[in-house]
Amino acid sequence: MPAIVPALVVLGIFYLGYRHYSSYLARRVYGLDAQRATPAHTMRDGVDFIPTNKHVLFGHHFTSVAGAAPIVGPAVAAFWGWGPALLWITLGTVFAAGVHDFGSIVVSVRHRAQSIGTLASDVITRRARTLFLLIIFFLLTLVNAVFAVVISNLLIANPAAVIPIFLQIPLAIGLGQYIYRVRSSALLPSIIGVLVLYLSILLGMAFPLSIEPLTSALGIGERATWVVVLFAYTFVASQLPVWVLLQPRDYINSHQLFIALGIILLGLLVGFDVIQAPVVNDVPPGSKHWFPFLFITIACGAVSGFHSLVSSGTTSKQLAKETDARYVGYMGALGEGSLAVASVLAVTAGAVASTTEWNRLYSSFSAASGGATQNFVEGVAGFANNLGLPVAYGTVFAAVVVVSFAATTMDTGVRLQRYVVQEIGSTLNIRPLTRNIPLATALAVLVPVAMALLPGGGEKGYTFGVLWQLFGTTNQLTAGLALAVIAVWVTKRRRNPVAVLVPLVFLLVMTTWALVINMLEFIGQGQWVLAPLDMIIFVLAIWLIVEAGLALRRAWNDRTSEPEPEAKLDES
Amino acid sequence: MSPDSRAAPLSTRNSWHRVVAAWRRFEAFHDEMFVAPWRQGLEREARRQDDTFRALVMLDALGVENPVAYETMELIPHLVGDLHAWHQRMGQDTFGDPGTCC
Amino acid sequence: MSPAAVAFFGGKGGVGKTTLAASYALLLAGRAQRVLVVSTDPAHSLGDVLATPLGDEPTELGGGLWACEISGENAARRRVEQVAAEAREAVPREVMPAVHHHLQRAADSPGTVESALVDRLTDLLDEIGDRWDHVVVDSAPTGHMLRLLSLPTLLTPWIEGLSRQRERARGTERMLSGLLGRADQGEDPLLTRLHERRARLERTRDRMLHDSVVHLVLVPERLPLAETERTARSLTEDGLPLGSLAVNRVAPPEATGLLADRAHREAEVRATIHERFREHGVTEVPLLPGALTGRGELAGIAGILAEAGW
Repeated sequence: MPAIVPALVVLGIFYLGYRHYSSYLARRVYGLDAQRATPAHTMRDGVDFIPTNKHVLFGHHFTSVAGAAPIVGPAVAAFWGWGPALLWITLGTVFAAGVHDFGSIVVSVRHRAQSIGTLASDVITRRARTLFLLIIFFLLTLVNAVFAVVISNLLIANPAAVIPIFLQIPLAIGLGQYIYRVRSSALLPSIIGVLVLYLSILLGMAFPLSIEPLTSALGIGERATWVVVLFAYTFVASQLPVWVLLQPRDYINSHQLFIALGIILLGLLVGFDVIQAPVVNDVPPGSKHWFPFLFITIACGAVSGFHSLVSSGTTSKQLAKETDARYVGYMGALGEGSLAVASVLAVTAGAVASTTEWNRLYSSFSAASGGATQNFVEGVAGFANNLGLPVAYGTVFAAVVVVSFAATTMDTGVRLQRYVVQEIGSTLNIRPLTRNIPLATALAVLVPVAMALLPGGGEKGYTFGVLWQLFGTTNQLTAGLALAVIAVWVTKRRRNPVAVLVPLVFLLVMTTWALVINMLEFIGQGQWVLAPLDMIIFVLAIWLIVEAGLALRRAWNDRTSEPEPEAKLDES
Repeated sequence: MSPDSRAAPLSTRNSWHRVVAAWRRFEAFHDEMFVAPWRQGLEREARRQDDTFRALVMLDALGVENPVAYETMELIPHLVGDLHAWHQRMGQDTFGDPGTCC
Repeated sequence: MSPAAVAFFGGKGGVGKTTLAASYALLLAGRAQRVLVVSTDPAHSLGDVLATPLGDEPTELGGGLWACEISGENAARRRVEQVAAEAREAVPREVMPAVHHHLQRAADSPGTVESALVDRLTDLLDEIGDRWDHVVVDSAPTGHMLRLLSLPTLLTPWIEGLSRQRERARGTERMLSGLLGRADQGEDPLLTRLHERRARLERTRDRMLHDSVVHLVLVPERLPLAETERTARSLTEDGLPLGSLAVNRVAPPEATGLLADRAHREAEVRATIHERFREHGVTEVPLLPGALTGRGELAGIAGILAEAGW
């Protein structure tokens, strides 16, 4: 089947979802009021709180939430065939992610634009904040571990990408310094910067760099070496002031996102690539069944708890009108869903010319997950080729884009993790953790390094997909916590919380179920890094279920006696 | 304006103006879409650094003993100007004894 | 070897620090040096010993000798007034109540009086080589003196940390103004002030560590000895140079009656003192008759010090 067909079907459903379901949410569930002054107005400070045009705000929101995660998960999950993956992406986006992203903005806007962690303690209990911190700790740890592996795999598979990726660092620093110093419009230097980056790909292709000769001479693993190099880089980079590297890099990335999306969509549209993968793959015996593992393999792209952090931490402070939350939040979820669809189609249509070829790439879960990102990169190269770009160039281009996203995520992740470590340090009264920044950073770096390298990790050992699923699990738990906050809030206002409860219950059930199956398997295999980790996350999941259940019961009992007035969506 | 451009046919000049205007519009759009988050992030960071500094100087105002209170006395007049916004950010709605702030 | 530019006299209350400090100052003045003797003890007695009223500003007593009694409280109060006066020029009137409030809070802060005293002392030490060649400090009782001496070393890292944080904030602001297309505001008055404070503290710290000497004064009794040993240890730990010890009011060995008994008891303590402090030098000053006030009577003690090689 031509890839464009399911793409159009999914986009059509997304449209209907936005048109009808988000409208239902706005009216009946969240009860938006266009007249009510938002924190952007009432707390306006010109820094965080700025009323912003909804299209612009959508742009900011989308660039913050989109990254490498909605690409990797679907590329792994294509293992079970494109049918289940697209089905979960579609249903998840419309009924879970949309509800979650949209709802997080609304609840935050109604609570002085507070962040989801604070909301958890205000709306649920103070204990819920500790739970939130712990979940975030594991989310960040795993995100850094998986992205280190993703980047390493890409650098090994694409030696031509090494030079452009390393050149990007001085390029970003230089662009930043130029714009800070020259004080002129940023547009022209940015165009030049992006052009230089994409020209450097030619340089990389002329001089591909592989560390394989070095590592084999030293007798160490190639991937392990890259992982260590990456974390060393992250350790240093995350201690620089944000304006030196992180911000200019993020800025360049926001351009790359739109360029890459444009190339994928146009290529898909003009190329008519045919999907080579089966709708439902006849997975090799002994593989895990897609049910329930699909739901923790595709997290970002179907529903992502990380979005609640952006929605409540940043976006809610800039919302000019309450009713804009629907456009910004729900559309943000659809945007991420579209990225996930693109990823599925890239690995099932763009990357391969025949079913045999596809079967080889996805011969086992281990092969599928280890090669997932490279398959995506090759798929994008295939789409780009439809537009006349040579495949070799397109591959490096796509690798550069994914690595750029993943690398800034690691930098941001370690910074956030440092705060979390410091906060946990102050909760537990461990002073060095709260005061010593290199120590907190080292801790934020060493745990994921261990996870990416220690027994079972590294070169052979547990498959990347398993680590990825643990990341997906923590992401779903974060989403679960945010959905619980939203559900409690909706219940308290005597509105029908079913639209929030369904995805909440679904996520919690699937997550815990997958955690239990994994736990038994890890114990059986003697995976003594993964088993305890899985166990801790399982405990957090149970804690979340109990906390959410209690809070919902309380909310049901002390619902306000008067139902909220009808939603006022008009501006009149 | 150079004599050449003055001599150019009206339509050429108009289309040149249109190109410039379009470029300006695109620049404005680009600024709002891509540069604004950077600017905002940097403003947030600048404020955070400033808040940290202020907290260190005005430790005793936060109820923590400050051993260098004497040494930093002359910084105080420079810091009280936007004190109100600061203590609200630090999570205290009212601050100090009645009359000093709020 | 010329004596250190600054000499601190410390010891328990009532052992005769002031008398010895004043005598030492006289001794130096007698060698054609310009000398300031300053008391930092809140219970000032320097004026009494020199038999002349003294104030915060050095009084010239003739013969190359100046003297003053400084107080942390006064210095702190003056500083608050000065900062408030400068603020009136610089900040809008409506924030002045808040300025006063926070200045008062700073003035009431636990470390302020001591800091102010060090600050005042720094003013006087800064005039070495200019108005005088030596400063002799009659310190407050031991604990107080130790804090005074260690304060610059203790506070410097704080000020450094503040400067670093300020620099970080300024660096970010500079980038921000670039991004906003604004001109940078140039020199930061706060950073300038912090640098000044740090330079001041470092100057005094260096002077205390490298151009000072601490003379501990005690009477030959067991308890004062124990305390003196503790003080000496903590001075050495802080890297402060310990000078010759002064054992004051030693009973004459040829004495009779009650004093003979005392002399007998002192002998053992004195032996211990000589043994423990041999490397620093020990000078004994006999128990002398009279009130020991005024330059005439102090000259006798100055003579004893001179004889001991001070």
